[in-house]
Amino acid sequence: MNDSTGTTRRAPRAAISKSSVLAGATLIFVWGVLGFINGDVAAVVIGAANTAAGGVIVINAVLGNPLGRLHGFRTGTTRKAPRAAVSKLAVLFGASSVNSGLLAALSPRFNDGSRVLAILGALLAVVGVVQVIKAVLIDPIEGGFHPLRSRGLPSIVPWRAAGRGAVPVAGAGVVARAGWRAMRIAAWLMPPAVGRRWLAEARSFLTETPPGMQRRAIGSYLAGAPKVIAMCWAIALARWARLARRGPRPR
Amino acid sequence: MALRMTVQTQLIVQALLKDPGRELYGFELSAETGLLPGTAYPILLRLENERWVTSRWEDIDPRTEKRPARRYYRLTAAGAVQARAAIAGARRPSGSALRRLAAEGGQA
Repeated sequence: MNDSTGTTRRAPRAAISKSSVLAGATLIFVWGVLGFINGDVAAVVIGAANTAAGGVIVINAVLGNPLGRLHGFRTGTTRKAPRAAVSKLAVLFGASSVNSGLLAALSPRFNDGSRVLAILGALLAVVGVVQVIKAVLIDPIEGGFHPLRSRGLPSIVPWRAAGRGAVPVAGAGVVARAGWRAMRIAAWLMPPAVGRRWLAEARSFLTETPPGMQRRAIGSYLAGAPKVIAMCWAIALARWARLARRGPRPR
Repeated sequence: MALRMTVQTQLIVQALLKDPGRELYGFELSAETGLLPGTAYPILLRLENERWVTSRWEDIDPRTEKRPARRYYRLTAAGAVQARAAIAGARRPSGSALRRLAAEGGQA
């Protein structure tokens, strides 16, 4: 599969993760329907919550992934964006499955079959947590989301690459380092291409900022992050809706 | 998304309008307007989304230059026209508003 830069994307893997998530979404939807038939309220609630998250992934699978191709947000490194977006959606899916695990443990309404499915849902949440840890510890600008893998090395312990993304602050103290980590979390909450660009611009800015101003600049970036997150997702969703109205792109 | 001409937006647009052909990067814009980067960035995103502004990464080798590439912003031709009209139509920021902004932003 060729993207807009003419480079070859590793499509099969992304397709596999999409299909597995779709399969999971369908399973949970069916579970919710069965719960409705059997009067299992907890199963209905969980089925609905997870199907909503799964629906996002269905749209993503049908339309391709517009999140990584926002107008004007290109960083020059958009090649990895689609996969990052897929895993991000998988995380959302997994996170919404946390309630499955909790309810499975707590609710007397669950029968054994429901409990097994709920625990499977909770396992997805574990995948989500790993993704969050990777996003926080691995610098998406210098290393990408899989810095070791991109160099042909196995990425068994992804956080070993954490040192690669040095804090771009002179004599970085604890506060600056914590601030930069918080910025990575904020960037992770944005669509992938926007997050990488935001961090790259921040890095560039901080490198040129006098040491006395750097903490203030980081604070300002963090204070402005919620606005950027809301704005860029609004733009992404508007673009998504536009694409949905237009129908799938011809291949 | 309609573009609200807040005081901060006006400051950024005016900085870009000084020489519409000139490209400015984040640090320069921050220094010219007195705004902190966290304030300036969402405004630039909004301007870019409205196609008033276009941006590009600086084409350098960061290892040679020993610094990361900058992101340059420039008004588009249509953007410059719209920006001038918007500035003319916008309420001028009061002296106290500008002083407050300067106090908030400091020497960014």
